[in-house]
Amino acid sequence: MITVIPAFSVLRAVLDIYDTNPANEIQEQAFSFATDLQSRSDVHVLLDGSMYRKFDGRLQQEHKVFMEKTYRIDDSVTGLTGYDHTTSLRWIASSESKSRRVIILTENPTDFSNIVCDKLKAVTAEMFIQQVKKAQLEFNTRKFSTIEDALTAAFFPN
Amino acid sequence: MTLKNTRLARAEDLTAELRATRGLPDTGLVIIESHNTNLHEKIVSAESGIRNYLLSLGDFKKGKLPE
Repeated sequence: MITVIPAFSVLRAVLDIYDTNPANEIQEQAFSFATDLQSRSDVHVLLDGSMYRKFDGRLQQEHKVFMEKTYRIDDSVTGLTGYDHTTSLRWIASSESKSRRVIILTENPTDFSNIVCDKLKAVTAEMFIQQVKKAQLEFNTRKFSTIEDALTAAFFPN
Repeated sequence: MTLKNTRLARAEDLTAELRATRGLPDTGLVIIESHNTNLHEKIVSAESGIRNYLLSLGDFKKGKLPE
């Protein structure tokens, strides 16, 4: 049971066509990897509702159908004042880690160093892709019987 | 707007016949779309990534993204 939570920069790389920063490509790729994992194991992609809804004005109705049917959206912090992207994500990730292992996808893992524990990791998009590929290889070579076990070993080795 | 629901699936879990008739790859992420009116299903490959899939549904609207 693993939940992947993308930070704002990752969501932006997926949902903002006008931002042509090449660094976004790797973040979009990481998000696509997470979605792929969701289709093959007990991996959820969880979106912070307060972040996701910032893109409301950018999305067509059909985009919203896909996003809202495919991903879990947590509105715990939506509408509250005093929470920025980081503090909101910290709260949601900490709460989620009570029931599932959590991977935060972020450009700045150090922003989450105070909540990282044996069930919660913060990684860059590059690291996420690297570890998913490692897990895939170990699953393919039958070191692990399921892709989820391989992912757990790769991201949560303790 | 006719798209009403979507599901994630794996091409390798579909029958070879279905993959052939829908022009899908043998493996990889696919998205099963339910459309109405005139209820019907589309199955599309998402191998080129989620952003490209979203763009296949339509362009993002213009405007400044809130901080």
